[in-house]
Amino acid sequence: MDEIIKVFLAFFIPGVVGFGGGPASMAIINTTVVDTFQLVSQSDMNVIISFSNALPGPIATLLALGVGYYAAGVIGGIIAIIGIVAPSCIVIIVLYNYLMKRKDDYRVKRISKYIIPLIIVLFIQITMNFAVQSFVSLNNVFATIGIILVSGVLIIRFKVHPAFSIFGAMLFGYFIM
Amino acid sequence: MLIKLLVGLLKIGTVGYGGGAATMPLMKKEFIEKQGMLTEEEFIEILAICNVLPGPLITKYCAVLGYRIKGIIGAILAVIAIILPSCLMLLVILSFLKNATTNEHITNMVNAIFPVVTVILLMLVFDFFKMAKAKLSLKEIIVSMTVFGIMLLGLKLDAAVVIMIFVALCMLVPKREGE
Repeated sequence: MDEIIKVFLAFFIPGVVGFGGGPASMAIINTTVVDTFQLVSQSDMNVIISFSNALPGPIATLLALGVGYYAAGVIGGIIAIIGIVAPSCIVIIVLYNYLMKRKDDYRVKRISKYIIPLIIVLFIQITMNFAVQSFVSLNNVFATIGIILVSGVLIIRFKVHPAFSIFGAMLFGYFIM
Repeated sequence: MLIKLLVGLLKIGTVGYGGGAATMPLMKKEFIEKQGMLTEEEFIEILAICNVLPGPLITKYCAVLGYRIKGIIGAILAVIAIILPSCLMLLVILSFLKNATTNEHITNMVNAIFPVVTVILLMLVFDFFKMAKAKLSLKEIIVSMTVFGIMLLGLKLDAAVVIMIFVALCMLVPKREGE
């Protein structure tokens, strides 16, 4: 029961303060889940983040499902999804007309402008996390750099769908490593 | 009408990749061009409100679409429809991993994803930077990144606490010239 409440809070908080959409909330979710509530280890969290990025669909709900499932089974996953989705959905439905009038308010505009540098700082943090994990878990510097370069060229230069790059890396890891 | 919406959302939930910004063009195509459920203006109007609220963008948007057709029930069903396909896929993968991580091939398979995700995250950093440059001057970006950096990394404040302080300041600081 205790675990379920922690799962709910770990996603309710990013659901309330996570400005900028799902991918932007990834870093905030990472800190509340791993540091504040210690629901899963950072390496388990990195696995969950990886597969959430590999799949279609909204990223934040996938993170919620993954963490909830690791910490407290399928029920945990559903509770976590409710935690991240419900606050903003309820607010937007209840306050739709009010927000319609306020969306050009200078205070609201300020929030959506100055939150971006904060998201960048948080993102640099989890990107560095991932870079470190890439080298540590593969334990093969050449393979890590190789995958970074190949996927970087494919995704950025040739606009290959990131999901295909992830799938290719999985095949490489399974059959060749 | 509701059935058409839900089928459309299930479809987008199966192919829409990379979060709100990337999925919105698909929504636009499905609900404006194909189904004629929304006008272009309505679509942008709803998006503008979704953008100023916290929380995942896509689910908020779907809640509004469902609510317009069939109230609270419509909103709940719309949110379930957009997340269901990917959630089922993730459950299958994670339950498989839970039972198979001892296998060395499986471990290598998962580990090989991390470098690719590093690249994807790095691209997101650049995307956010571009977004920041469109709205703020370089000086403003550097100053605010430094302030946030000190709060988060130096003082080790919780991200949620920093955001709450930030929102309070945005609300309380009086209007400046040009805002």
